[in-house]
Amino acid sequence: MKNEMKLIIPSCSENERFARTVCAAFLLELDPTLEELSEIKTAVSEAVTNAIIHGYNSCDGQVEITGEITDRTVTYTIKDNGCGIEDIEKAREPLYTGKPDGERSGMGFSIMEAFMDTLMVESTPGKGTAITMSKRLSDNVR
Amino acid sequence: MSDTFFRSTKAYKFHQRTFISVRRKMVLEALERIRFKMEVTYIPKHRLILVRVTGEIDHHSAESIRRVTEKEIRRTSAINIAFDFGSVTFMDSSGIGMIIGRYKTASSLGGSVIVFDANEQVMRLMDMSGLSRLVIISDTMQKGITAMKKLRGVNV
Repeated sequence: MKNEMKLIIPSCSENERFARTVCAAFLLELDPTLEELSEIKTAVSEAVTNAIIHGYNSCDGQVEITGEITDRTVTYTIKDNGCGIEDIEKAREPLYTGKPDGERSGMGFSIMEAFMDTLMVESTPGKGTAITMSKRLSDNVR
Repeated sequence: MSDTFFRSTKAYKFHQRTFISVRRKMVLEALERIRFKMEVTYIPKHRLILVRVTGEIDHHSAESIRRVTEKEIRRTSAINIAFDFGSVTFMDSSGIGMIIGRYKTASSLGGSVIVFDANEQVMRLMDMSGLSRLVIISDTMQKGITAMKKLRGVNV
């Protein structure tokens, strides 16, 4: 099966829930397990939150989310035109946060890595960041 | 019977009104289950504020939990915070950050943080982040309070 979607939303924190709910609804067609569904919701939530907090520094901007299904693999790309990441290696380190005084746990990338099969981060400082992550869903035994 | 005729009958209007209201009620109930809500109770006996959270905890809702909890801590003489996560349906790393923040507040006052009745998804996230080294995680509030008293060396 093949399918795709695109969602563009303003970067306000109210939209985080909307974005992850849409991403979860997008793959319902594949009949995922509850665990897969909550893993994907969490990973998308982390990526969108990063775009809003770090990419746009909680200022106005647009977050673009695309989803693609090929067979039983789902791929999401979360893109912002914010400030970008200077040092991707460092940002991906567990417990590292760019906002130490903002009550952030620094676990965003670790969670995305743990919950998805692949995670790719492309970023240009001053231009923005795109996070591509994919996951192959288990075959249905029903 | 033609469709237009049926649509003009009382029976149809009744059917439609009932059907729409039932469907509307179902949608509202479903929304109610995921809508973010919180309820704060002060329990003087344990110098504890109990925060009952309903819905999804993300960057947006974690911010309101932080604001309300900090305000209650300042207003009352509570030093401990207990989070009832029984109705939390989703949490991401913003929730972890928020709990660590409350741990900092409570421990600066000499108190503790308890998180109880969390679902599997939330438990998994808390395990991943090693939160159990900082806060008391239990399945009921009573067990959490017992663990808290033990931590202080009070016999129960």
